[in-house]
Amino acid sequence: MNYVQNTDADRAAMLAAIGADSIDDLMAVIPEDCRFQGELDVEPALTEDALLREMKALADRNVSADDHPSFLGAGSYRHFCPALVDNLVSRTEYWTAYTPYQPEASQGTLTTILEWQSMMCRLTGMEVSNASVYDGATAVVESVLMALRLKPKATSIVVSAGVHPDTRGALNTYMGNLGIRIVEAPLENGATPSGHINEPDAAAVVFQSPNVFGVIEDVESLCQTAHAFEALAIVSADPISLSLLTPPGEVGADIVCGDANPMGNKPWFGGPGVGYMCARMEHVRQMPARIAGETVDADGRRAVVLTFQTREQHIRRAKATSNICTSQQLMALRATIWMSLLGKEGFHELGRTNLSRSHYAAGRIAALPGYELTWPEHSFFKEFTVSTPLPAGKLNKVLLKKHGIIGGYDLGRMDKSLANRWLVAVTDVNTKDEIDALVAALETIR
Amino acid sequence: MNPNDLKYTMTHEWIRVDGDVATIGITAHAAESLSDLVYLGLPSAGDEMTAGESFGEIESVKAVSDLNSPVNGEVVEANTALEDNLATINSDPYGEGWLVKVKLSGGLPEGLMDVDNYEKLVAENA
Repeated sequence: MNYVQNTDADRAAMLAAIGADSIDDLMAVIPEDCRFQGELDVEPALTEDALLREMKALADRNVSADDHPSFLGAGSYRHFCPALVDNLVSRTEYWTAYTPYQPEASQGTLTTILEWQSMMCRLTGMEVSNASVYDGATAVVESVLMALRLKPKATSIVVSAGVHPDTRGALNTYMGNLGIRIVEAPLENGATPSGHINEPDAAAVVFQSPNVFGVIEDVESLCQTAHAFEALAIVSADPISLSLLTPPGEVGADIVCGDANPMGNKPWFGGPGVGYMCARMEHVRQMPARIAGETVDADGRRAVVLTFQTREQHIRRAKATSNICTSQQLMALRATIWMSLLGKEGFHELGRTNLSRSHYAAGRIAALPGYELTWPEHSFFKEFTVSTPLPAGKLNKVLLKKHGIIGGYDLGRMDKSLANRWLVAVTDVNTKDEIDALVAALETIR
Repeated sequence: MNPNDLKYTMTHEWIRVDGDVATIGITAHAAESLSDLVYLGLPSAGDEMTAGESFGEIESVKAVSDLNSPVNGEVVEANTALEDNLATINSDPYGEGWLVKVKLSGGLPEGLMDVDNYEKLVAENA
């Protein structure tokens, strides 16, 4: 099939094949008074050059974080990504199928998957990682489905209100259709209190740390709470925060998951993300998606295989662990290259930069009259909630229009009662000058 | 080589009845077809078993297969010793390779085969 417009000869051949004399003859089954008469009111075709100018003018109406200082996060974050990442993922060696169906033919791709899994296990403190799933929300849903397979008698799950609303939306869709009850654990002062949760019918307790408001949860206590009624503890975590925070696996998490988009990927137009999932070895047979494993070939040489294909959908059909038998390979590859470029020390340093910049910004904003940190008693990593004297939506409008700054997330969009709450993300790509400019702009907005 | 005092199923399980307890395993033909076994998932004592429904799974390097219960009853004992030595299922499928012991509720379901009919089934599918 070619994509060139039909020629007169093409049309004549097609009409002849179906026995019509002309296009009008073909349309004759449609009553005449239902057919459009006359010329369509469409601009004449543009030349390629004019079309490019037209499209660029349209595109330039977008406001891009590439052109403006941005403090917008709420689940999608900018971090520095060396040009080498783009360069390396473009190498022809990676131009094979993103998820090979004859996997062992692609030893290079499988090796990068094994590296990704090893890095994610180190980062989360867990024993086994899969090759990735679609995005952070999918990773949380698949983690819950895994917990339900491990606890087949469970009829509910507990989900913290600090889990990102988009993730909770995905969970609602899946659980509603499975007849699994979702028990929401409400927040107190921005964090999930572990004391009140007691849900013996639950397969899992799901929480996010840092949570959607930026607050670092008490991961250890929440894991203990889950274990007290024999539920699994599922922690969704921004992997960048694990550069400094204790790996959840060291304080009791059974499944650690989330979106690795911030590592070597970009917010782009809201995706693509790359979901990661790490678990304990004792639960590995209920883990969905692909897992690369190391073995030796017939001659005793090191080789990499897809270890759990026997449980995937194309082999196991309806009894597969998941309908996912793929991975977000290109994005996971970017994250893997990014991590290897930063190295262990570089990754910790990046974490410290995020921490110090966000705390500098928080201190300066909270010192402004009328502004304060909403939950100063809690720790945060790179994002924090501020109580503002004006509605956050209004602040954002003035900041962009008058100062060319993309402000934080207006939490009123999540919940109307939070109209004067502003979620501000400050990462390694926000310079001190940008932060000072933001503070100076806020001083002028009354 | 298949013992003649056992009952057999279409899905290659065997049943040995002793009083009201049935011992269940997979046949030599099934073990041979699966080849190298890597994992066995068995129920626990006290779990209910329903005839025709899965009571566990057995995984080889080739595939994961369900273990189908030929009887109704309650698990008395699962052969957990197999977990560290799955090759026993291949080497001694009718002896040390047994999978579960079940206290029967009601009698044996209909449709179980004797050794001659089972061997005919295997020969037909060969």
